[in-house]
Amino acid sequence: MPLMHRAENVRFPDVGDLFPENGVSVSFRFSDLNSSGYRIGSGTEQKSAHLSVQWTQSRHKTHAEYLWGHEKTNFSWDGVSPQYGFDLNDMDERRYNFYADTSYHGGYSDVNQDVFTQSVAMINHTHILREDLKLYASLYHIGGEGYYRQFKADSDPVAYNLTDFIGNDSMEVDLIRRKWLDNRYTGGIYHLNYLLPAHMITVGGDFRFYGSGHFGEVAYVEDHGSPGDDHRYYNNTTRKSSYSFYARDLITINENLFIQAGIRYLSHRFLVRQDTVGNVTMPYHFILPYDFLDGRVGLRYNVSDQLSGFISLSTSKREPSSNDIYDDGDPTVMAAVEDPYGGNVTEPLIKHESLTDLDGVLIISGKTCVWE
Amino acid sequence: MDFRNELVPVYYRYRDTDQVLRGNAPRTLHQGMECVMELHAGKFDLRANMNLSDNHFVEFTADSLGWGGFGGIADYAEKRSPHSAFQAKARFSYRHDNFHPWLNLRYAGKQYIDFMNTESAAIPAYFVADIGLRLPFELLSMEHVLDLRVNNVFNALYETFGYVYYNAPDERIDNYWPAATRNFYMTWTLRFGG
Repeated sequence: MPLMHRAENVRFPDVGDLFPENGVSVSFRFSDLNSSGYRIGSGTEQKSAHLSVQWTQSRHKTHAEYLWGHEKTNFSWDGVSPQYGFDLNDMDERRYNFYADTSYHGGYSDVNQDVFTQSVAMINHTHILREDLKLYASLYHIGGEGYYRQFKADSDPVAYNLTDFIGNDSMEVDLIRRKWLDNRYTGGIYHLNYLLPAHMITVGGDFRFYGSGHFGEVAYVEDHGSPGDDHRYYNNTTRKSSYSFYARDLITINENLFIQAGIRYLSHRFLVRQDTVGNVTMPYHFILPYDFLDGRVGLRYNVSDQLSGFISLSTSKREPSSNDIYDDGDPTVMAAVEDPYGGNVTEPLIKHESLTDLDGVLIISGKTCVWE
Repeated sequence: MDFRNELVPVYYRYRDTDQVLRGNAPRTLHQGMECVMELHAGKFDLRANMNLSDNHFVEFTADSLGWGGFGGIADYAEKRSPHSAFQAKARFSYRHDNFHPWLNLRYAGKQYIDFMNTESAAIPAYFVADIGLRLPFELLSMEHVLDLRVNNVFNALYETFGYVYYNAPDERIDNYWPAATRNFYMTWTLRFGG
């Protein structure tokens, strides 16, 4: 915890002082992981790659990164229950996995899978504009696509939009479904540091644009085959646009006493639009706005080189997630908003969380020991 | 941390007689104390931390005692949320030029798995130890690091998480996520270039 900030030297070091190896550096990492898992039939295959390029000069640094990952995991979401006869003190029974039990999954032991591929691209730039002024800016893009696949016994063909395919809407069927997510996330973060004799002022913010498509498809119906790649039993899109601004000041009262104060404004606009598919006959379409204003104030005091501490009081807020508001695949669950239809701006029936946080830290440092 | 309207899991939500959806706990409190210590004595290092926490509902009325909804609407004020109230970790290591042995110790206190704080269903306290050896060396102008690791060396049988649901009002089903027993890892890291 850096409690020893000194603001008497009102200049930033050159970036090159921080990163003395000026020039270009490149690194690459690849991993391939294969595990059978602890729970029975819960293995995973994971591949990832990371490429990093950095260009450093005396007054600026630019760093670009690309990360890619792919996973295929046989899930074991459910716990093990003693009431169903499993002894958690038995080395084998405690490894039971419902999702790999062939007796509940049409004879399949490995059909229940989570499959996802994600990539992250980002570029960060730090620039010493003047000896008392530093800029940091970052842009990123995150993309991900995948599904979880599940065997569902005795399923209602109407709920899965299969009546045209199997020609009999009264007969329950065993099927394998996939619930897909295809999402993208683009944004930026920036801040400017300004040094004054007794102040370090930071102003900054971020912006994010999130878009996603969620859809369900039936991959296979027992005794009937596949309804085709275009089959859907729900389909919806969401958009979430967010931006924030903040300002904070670290004020040096004297060489041992500092006060920090800050304020942040955060805004979200969340849009949901469902398609009329299968038994989704009244699709949701609504917009939820959230506007949050929060503050923070803190005090740092260095009693001596061995003893220091700080105390801070802050507020923050968190909006409900999409899962809190509605259920993708179950239209019988009413969306928790005042007006779920018509595409209007509406109010959530689930309130946002509000937090008031009081933190205190005491640090005792010796030659060989640190207590915090 | 003093929460107002903390979001609660979907299956605890209900609509009251005025058709108002109750999806938030009006007030919850999460408070605690954490102690972190680092000690360096010659080539020996010790890093340790422990935390004591109190996470409870101050005001919270919810629909059921778990999935299934057979519990009815209950008042959970002063009940603890499912977190362990005491946890401690320590890492001992030794830095030799050619090998770095280490020992990790973890302890977690009792953890409730339902909002009613049912004692018979709670996850008991557990203690786990991991040991390892790090061997750095140079070969063929490349930096190599061989990491050998044994997790849960005493083969403790413990659970990290649990939840309940009801098949009927008097039939509670407890579920637990069992942690892995003793397991072994070997990692070989190669670094090319400067």
